[in-house]
Amino acid sequence: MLLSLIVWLPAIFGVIAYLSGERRSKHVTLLGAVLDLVLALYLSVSFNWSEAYRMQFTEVYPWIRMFGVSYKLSVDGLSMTLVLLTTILFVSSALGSMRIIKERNALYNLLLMVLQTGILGVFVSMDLFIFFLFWEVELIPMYFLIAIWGSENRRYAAIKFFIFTHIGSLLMFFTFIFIHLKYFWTTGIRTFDYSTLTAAEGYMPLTLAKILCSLLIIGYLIKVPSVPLHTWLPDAHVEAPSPISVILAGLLLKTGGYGILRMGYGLFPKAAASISTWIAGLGALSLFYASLVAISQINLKRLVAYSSIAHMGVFLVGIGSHTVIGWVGAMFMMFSHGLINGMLFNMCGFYKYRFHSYDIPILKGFTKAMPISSAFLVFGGMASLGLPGLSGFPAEFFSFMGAFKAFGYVAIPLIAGLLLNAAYNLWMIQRMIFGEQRYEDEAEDLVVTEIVALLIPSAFIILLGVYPAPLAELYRVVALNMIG
Amino acid sequence: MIQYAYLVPLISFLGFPLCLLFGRRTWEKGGGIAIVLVGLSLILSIPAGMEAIEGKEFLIKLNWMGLVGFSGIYVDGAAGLMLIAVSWVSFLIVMFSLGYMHEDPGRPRYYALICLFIGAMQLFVISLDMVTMFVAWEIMGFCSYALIGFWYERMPAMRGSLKAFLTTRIGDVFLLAAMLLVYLNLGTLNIVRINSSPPQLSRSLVTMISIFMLIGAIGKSSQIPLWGWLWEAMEGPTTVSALIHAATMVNAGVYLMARMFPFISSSNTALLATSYVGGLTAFLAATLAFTEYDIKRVLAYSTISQLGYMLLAIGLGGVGRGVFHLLSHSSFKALLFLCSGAVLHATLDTRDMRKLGGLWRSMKLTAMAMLVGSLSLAGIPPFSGFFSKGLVIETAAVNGDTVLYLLAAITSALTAFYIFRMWFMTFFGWRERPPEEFHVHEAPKIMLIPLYALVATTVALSFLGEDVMVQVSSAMGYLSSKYSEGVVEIGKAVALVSRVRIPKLLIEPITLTLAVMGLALATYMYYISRPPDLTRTFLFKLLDEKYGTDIFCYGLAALFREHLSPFMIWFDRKIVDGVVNALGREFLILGDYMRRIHTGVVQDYVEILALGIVLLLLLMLL
Repeated sequence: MLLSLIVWLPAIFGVIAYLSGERRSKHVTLLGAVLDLVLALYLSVSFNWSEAYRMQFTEVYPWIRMFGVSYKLSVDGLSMTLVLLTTILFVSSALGSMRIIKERNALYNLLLMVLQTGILGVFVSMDLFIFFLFWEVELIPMYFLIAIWGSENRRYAAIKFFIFTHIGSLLMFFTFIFIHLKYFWTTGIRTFDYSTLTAAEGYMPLTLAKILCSLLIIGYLIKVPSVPLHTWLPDAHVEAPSPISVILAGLLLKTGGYGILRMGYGLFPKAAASISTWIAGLGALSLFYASLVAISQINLKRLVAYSSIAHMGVFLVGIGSHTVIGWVGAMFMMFSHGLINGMLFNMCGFYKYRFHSYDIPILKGFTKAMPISSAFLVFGGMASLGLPGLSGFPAEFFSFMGAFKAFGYVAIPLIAGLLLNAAYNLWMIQRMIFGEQRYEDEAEDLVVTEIVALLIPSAFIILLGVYPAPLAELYRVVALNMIG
Repeated sequence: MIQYAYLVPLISFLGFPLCLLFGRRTWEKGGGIAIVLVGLSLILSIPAGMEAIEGKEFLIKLNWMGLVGFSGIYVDGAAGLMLIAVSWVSFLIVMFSLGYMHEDPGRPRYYALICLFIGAMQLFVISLDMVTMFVAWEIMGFCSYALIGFWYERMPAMRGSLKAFLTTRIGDVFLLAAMLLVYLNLGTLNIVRINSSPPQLSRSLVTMISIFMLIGAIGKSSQIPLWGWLWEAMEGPTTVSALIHAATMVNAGVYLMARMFPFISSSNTALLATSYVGGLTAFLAATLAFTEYDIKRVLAYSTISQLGYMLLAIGLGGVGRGVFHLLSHSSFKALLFLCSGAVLHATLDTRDMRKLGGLWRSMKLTAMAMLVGSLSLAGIPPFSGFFSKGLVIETAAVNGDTVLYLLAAITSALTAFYIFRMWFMTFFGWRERPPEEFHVHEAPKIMLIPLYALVATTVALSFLGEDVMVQVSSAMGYLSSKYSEGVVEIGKAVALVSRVRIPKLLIEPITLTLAVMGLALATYMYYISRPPDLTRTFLFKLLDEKYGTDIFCYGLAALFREHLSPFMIWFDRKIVDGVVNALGREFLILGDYMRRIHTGVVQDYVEILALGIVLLLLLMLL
């Protein structure tokens, strides 16, 4: 029951928030998010870490017997950590929304909490049908959150987001149905159960499996996103309200990454292994491409958005290496990047609230006036460039280790990507923090809710950076089991 | 006490959060916390280090990162020696800061970063494995970045800090690559094991890894061609420069090469590269100091040059000698920087030596201390620089080829010249007395005590002379069995050109004569006669441009920032997104449709959402 509780609690609180009116809804939402975080922490404590590869806390209820659909929730190490990440970021996002969202609070909070249920559902459902449902559930509130509370060009961004991700959904839906039918035709059993369907690859020729797997993974690559399927992301981020960007970068991208691992490699282990090099190649392309685009960005939020793409590029390199250590890096990257970019996007929101802009020339020079926010920005930039002692370092280290292991000398030029990564982060910091100082009335430093919103992810960034071993070990167990 | 060595960096690290959180409310805004903590770590490191030098070893392992084996700390003689040196010099610099930074409002941040910086270097010297090394290495990179840019509103500080971080980062990623290659091929990152394993690897692989490590060291120790950051790093507070140059940061690169020497020594190419990089840097950096009028930058070039000496010695197998020079350089360079700090403190931060001059009357104590530092740097007996540099040059003569020896020997003359040019210009010069508006005053006691403690260190190191060298060499473990006299017989095999033939007895007198000649010339040009104006000559311009390093650096940065990246932004928006939008034009019909539903009434949206969910549910239940 614990998993169901974690998944549905936000939605319940969302409804309560909606009913409790404009003013109180924020607090109800925050309460719900915090309660869910507590539950997720309880989950991670009671989770058996040494057997992280095993599906734990399983709940199965048959649902639509005709198609063999069952309501099956379960977590292994990967899912568990992503549940934790989700609840952390939603608390951060709810705190970040406190001042930024000024109108239609009740509806906003309802949608936000439904979104949380959708994302949590994706991470824990072990039935393809339920997985798909949750996947769709998360899209709808996201669409409205961008389209209603976004900035000037929000409709364009929202529709772009919707169309792009829907293409991914369609590809996924098609593949799922195909697998389901293939399994049914071969064995006579109708089922959408994930662990059962992992056998389906054996019933089809490798070429077919490869085609299906590629379609599936392309669907997820849109969400990750990988260059050249990324163009929805910068627009969506720039237009979305910042607390929603936190979710978008921190979690929605992770559903894509999770999909590649769980569904792509889980359902088609052989086929996916054979296209791994392509995934790594796309990852390398994303890393270089997005880093280069990020260097001279004037819009702070767009810059952070491209840094997301670059980091997810490292993630894809780790995945594509198809080695245990590379996968540990990739999973670590998902967790770490969620925290770091979640934090940075929240920062963008706090700046926008004060200066009504994301443009660096407008935001720069408030280091003296806003020391706390400047400190967080430097911290975020350092975490993003992978400074050891913060969570980004183990993620990059293991991912590159995987790449070196899999591709040998070919992978050596990849390290130049780290240099570009440092370049855009440092130049961002230089433009924002250094130089002539300004004092303007709006330049009030962060208030308590904002500081807490940043402190929560920061604490985990430091924790995972100072002592990465437990999480790395957890992921090792999971990756070892998945790669075999 | 050696079993508590791991506490040394931890205590220093503790200063970082403490100063940031509580610094504002304590004595000297964090200075009190810093001096106590760094002092404690010094008190702890002395007995721990001494025990290590006497031959004890200590090791702690911790599964820190998972997957790549154990990380940890390992204190042997070399580490113990370095630990004491780092803690001692750092402590004095923190003490000096109490006076020097007394009026700065940013002190909590300053002391927090200083503590982190010192802790990172302490961790670096006692690390067991390359991961720990790398972590400490990068934390130092960050600290130097934040401290060089400490006065963030100043334009040059901002350029200097960015340049420092990016340039050293080039070295860092190569070190990272070396680390990954080592782990994948040897399955361990433990330094001791790596050092005993080169025979298992192919020669080309060892060469490649060693060269990558060398590039890491080049970045950190500011050698050719990644040397451009160190002189611009002078924009930070002078105490920071002292810390970077004497106790932390740049020494890390040399120490890395010394630490990994047994591994590197299996590749002749890498050794040759190391010694040539060192020799060339030593010479070229010394020439740069000729045309410099910025007192701190003169010292920066001299650091680069002396680091070159150290790498030269290490590349030729004289690891003990290189590290001995590192230690002696630490003490006299800290001294020189702190003296220049005292000068700046007294003259409203005037760094241009043409505006200084005539300070001798009012700052005799500082001038005397700086004279000791300068004599030591110039290699005049009986100060430590004479012995340590002499040993390096001897290594070049015995093991190196003619080019290396000439570079090393000529540099010693150049060194004596530029450092006394600086000393005379600052304290005497053609100016009888300094401008009135300076209100020149002798440094306060809190600054003079560390100065004279460093003078004492420099003198002590020189009186111990060869004894210390022997100690260092044996601590580095290269005197014992494998190598004789701390010098390996490698020069023969890898020398580029023919070897130099000088009787061993003559090496030292020649070096000394060259140094004295440099000194005499400086005295003549800058004390006896008026300084000549050479600014129009071609050579001056070439040196002023630092052989084009800065043009290249900024050109490269501009290429990325102003051309490549904007092009990519354009490409992304117009080409990639353009194609997507063209494809999506069909979907825009859908977009129009969507726009019509957007009535702007909340209830409508909720209804649509509810309708959608109901539809989905119906679909499912069918």
